[in-house]
Amino acid sequence: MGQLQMNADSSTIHIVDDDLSVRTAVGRVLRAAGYQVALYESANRLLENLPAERGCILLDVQMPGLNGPQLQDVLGKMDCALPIIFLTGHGDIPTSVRAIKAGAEDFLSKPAPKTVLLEAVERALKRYDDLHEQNVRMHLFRARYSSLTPREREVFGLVVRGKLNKQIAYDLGTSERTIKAHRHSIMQKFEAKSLAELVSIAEKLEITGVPAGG
Amino acid sequence: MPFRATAEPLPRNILIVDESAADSPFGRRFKDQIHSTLDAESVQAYAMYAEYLDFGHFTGPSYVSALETYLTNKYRDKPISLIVALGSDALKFSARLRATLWPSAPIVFVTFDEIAARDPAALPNTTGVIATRPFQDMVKAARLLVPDLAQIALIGDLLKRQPLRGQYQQDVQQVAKELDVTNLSDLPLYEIRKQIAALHDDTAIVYIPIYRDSTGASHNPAEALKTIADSANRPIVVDSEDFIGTGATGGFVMSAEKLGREAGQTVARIFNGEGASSIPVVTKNFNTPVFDARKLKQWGISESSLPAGSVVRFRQLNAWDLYRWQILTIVIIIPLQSIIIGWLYYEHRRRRAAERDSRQHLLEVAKMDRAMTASAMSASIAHELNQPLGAILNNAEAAELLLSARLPDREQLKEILADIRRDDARAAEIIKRLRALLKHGDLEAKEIDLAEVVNDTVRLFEHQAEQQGVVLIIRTVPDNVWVRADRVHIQQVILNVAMNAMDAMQALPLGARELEVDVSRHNGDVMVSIRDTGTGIPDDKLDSIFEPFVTTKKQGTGIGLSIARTIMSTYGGRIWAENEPGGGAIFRFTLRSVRAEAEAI
Repeated sequence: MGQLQMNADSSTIHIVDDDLSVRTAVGRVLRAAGYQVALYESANRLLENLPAERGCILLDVQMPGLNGPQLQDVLGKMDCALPIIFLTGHGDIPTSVRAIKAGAEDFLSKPAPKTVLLEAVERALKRYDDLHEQNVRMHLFRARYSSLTPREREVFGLVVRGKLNKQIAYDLGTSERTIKAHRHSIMQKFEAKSLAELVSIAEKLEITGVPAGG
Repeated sequence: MPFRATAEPLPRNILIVDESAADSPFGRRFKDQIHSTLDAESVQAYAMYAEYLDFGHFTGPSYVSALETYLTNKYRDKPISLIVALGSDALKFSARLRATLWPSAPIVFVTFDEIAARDPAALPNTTGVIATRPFQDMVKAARLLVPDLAQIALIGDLLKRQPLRGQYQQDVQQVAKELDVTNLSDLPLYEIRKQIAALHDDTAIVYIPIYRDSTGASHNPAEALKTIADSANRPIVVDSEDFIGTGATGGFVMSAEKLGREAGQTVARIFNGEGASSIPVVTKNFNTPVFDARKLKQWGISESSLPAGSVVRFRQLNAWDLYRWQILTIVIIIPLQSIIIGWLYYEHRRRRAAERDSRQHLLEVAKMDRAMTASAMSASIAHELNQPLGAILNNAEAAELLLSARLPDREQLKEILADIRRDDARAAEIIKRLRALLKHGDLEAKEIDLAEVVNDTVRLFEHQAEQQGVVLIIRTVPDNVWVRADRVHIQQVILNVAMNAMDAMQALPLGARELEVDVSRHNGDVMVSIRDTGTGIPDDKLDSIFEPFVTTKKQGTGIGLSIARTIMSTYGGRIWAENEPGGGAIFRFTLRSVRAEAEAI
């Protein structure tokens, strides 16, 4: 519970529902559970003040104007990091499948009791954190990759494709010792302890190892 | 030049010589019957003359000789080829006339007594009929009318003066041997009347013609009888048809027709070449029993006691005789009418029962249809109900969390409780609307505000509209539009049309789905129009969609709109469909406004 409280402090739950009673009541439960809550009567209201901080979106499926799945599409295109939990009066299967496939965190049917609601919110926030952490690491890898010299990037590409120093040296028309020095520098810059770790980073960066030049 | 004996054929001139008076109906009928018999026997080109000697009124040698002279002169240039003599005195007279004027003319006679017949039988070139007319026939008739007959009161002219009744003088003497015959002949009429008013019960009156009474006054015998009959206290028997109907009860009467036919046939035979002498004289009783029904009734005599073959005249024509056809018609028509009335009544009852059944049926089908509609809306209704229920749950949970704090926020708790109460009311309202739609029991036509009904009904399907991406536009500008109908029925009509409209727009892109419900006034009626932006209705189906089992939908039962039309007609309203020129259908229904006057004030 302590962990939950701590997380709650630093996050906002965005509730989008055209029904005043529903969004007020859901908002009250979450607020009483310690979350910050923001209420929106329509999808457009949310889009007008698109939040950036940690949190998640509780989204009603049926709404006038943009409905839940439509808002999900829009947010997806905007690269919004907030996980979406759908709330629906009647969990019709096609809508659920579509929502989950589109990356919805959860699909809850109304009325959603407190425990279900809070668990879903927690899961969503966890996912937000995971995604966030991943994003941070990616950001780091990209920064490190950009710190490589052009020659080091060429060597990196060939190393992660599993080529031997000798082959690389031959390909680049230089000595095996020079390649060894580049390789050492690359390992240091990525703080990688093994070749396997380097390959994994390359995969995340989507470095295919194609040589930059002829 | 030799004398040519080939004489011209004699003209067929017939002379009837009747010894009674010219105004005697008997003589007239006798003559008419000869005429018709000759016609029936195809006797051509004859002429008939008649002379009435009136021996009843006039007698004496000077009268007879004057008559003879007169007739001799009268017929001097009129050759008569055949003489018919009626009565024995007429026969004697005719024989003398013939001897003077037409010696070769045959005589056909009709006489009434054998006494007279002795002479004619001796006459040359003569034949005829002797109609026996016994006074005993009078007695026979008197016994029929008075079964215990003991006395006969005889009234009339002196028997010796009676024409056509030569036999009676002798016969009466015979009868007087068995019965007490009181002879009231030759008394003045007033005396006769006095006498016959006080006769014994065992008496019958026998009437023979009165031509003159003892005072010398001349009478018409039929008229005289009429006068006497008024005073008679006993039935009167007569011997001539002439007296039937003038006061007599009846009797065996001489038939002028029978005698005329007999004489006519004899005449025809002679004209056809038979010699009169070669035709034997026929002696026969031609009397026929004829009675007056009115008199029979007066004396209490049953018609069944009369001899077979009796002719009863002057039957009081009763309603049946007078109006037989009308009665028959009525007798036939009344049962027919009764049958028709009964049948119509039966049909009416059947129709009423059928109407009642059909109304019952309508109610059942309408209820079924509402249940189906409700079922179609159930997901939507469940959602609608879940909204307040979910809110109540979350509010309660929030309150619990707030209460676990050391210093609960009382203001917020109050707010939460108020919201819970509001959401509960909201859920109750949804259930109420739903229950109204599925309501059992009698529906009743009441004054309802159509605008309010429309608004309420729209709330039943607004969530579904939202789900289907349909934009609802509601225009109930004149609120307080009162009509007389059952609220649930009207809701049903609106729901049916609206659900159809929403289905019709399923294929449209999201932004194009619009449903407009409009309440307006229309010529003293209230009109509800439900317009959609769908594909419209094929023109040839605009009418037929209101018939049962006609549908344009793939999954329609085709009863919704037929129920809608039945419901509208139940309340005197009308429902129809139109196509909007720009696409889409409009369903309109009208109901008579019930508070137009009140609103006008």
